Amino acid sequence: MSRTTIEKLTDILRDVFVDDTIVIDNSTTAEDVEGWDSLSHVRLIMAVERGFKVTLPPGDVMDLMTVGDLVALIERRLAA
Amino acid sequence: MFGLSKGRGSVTKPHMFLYGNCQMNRLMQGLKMQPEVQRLFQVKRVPSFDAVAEDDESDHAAMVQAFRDEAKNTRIFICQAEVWDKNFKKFADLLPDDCVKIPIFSVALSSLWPYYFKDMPIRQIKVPGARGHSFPYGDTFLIRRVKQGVPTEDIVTEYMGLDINAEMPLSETHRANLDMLRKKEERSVIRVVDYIEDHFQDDRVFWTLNHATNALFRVVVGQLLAAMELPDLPPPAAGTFASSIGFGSLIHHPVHPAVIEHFKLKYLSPDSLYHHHGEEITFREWVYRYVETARIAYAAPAAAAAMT
Repeated sequence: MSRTTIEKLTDILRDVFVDDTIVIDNSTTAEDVEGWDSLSHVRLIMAVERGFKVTLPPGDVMDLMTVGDLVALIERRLAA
Repeated sequence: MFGLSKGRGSVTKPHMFLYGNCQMNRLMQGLKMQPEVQRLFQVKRVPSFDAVAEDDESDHAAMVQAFRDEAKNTRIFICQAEVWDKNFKKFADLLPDDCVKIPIFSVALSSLWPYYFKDMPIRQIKVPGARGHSFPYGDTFLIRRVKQGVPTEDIVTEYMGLDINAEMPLSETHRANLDMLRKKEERSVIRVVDYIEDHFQDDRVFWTLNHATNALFRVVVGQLLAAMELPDLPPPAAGTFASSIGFGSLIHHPVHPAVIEHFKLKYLSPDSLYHHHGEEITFREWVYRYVETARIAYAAPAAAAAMT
């Protein structure tokens, strides 16, 4: 069975922020994840792009409010 | 642009408020040095960070209260657009209708520190007698090795020899950083991303990810003055702005030698010294101290906090 987008995203977040205890859902925000701030956001987005093999436009990733928004963006780009 | 040099004919000088993070303090210093700004305005800052409780007696709280008391006399309001969305709406009604609002943005660049993350456990450890955190900027590569139990000397040796570009494409990361900044710039009257792109290899533009050098602040001040149609005159004493005290004098975030080599930074070498709470240390020494401190912070965060 293929892994869901949020499961894969969880692994990426855990790797980028070196924290195996990170648990996310669609309502999670950057403030809920220790280590995730605006300065580390670029690195996370690049890891997401590599992990999912998608390109995320800068204008779209800046307006993300929640993990659910990021998941939706990834899935839109995968379907494009 | 805004016709501000005409003034309002008021006896009391109106306020120019700067609202945003600590970068606004440096901008305030730069603007205050301009004779025409001094003549026309009382320049003050109100911090955007830290929620201020009713019983808060800190300097931040005092600045917020001063703004509440004096906002009605504000002629110019310079604001970082990103914090406006988050925090400012609660204050917006205090400003007079004819107040000129000038959006800028918080300038930050992580290209030179590819493993940066906000390392909260190590931030709990304070340097006795010093302002701020011992290590305000974390490094995920080092923390990963600390968590794996690798001895400090081995971590230092491995990291010093690491080909970072093989692990993480530095030029691509830099491009992504600049693209993100350009999106922020679209909402701002200042335009500095081209300056950063053109100068960051030849001149020091950032001390840390989010602390620009005076060279960049000087560009921002010049653009703000132009936007306000005010003259951009040299400060009264040569070098005054360059020597103004700010966070950059306390902490420089050291740059990995492989990053220096990759970007061919002309102002740094593997042996460069960096300010670190009153000392001058090399990148290697910074790595050693960070790892040793992280070992304490991650092993027993509560105990580490109690030591400070």
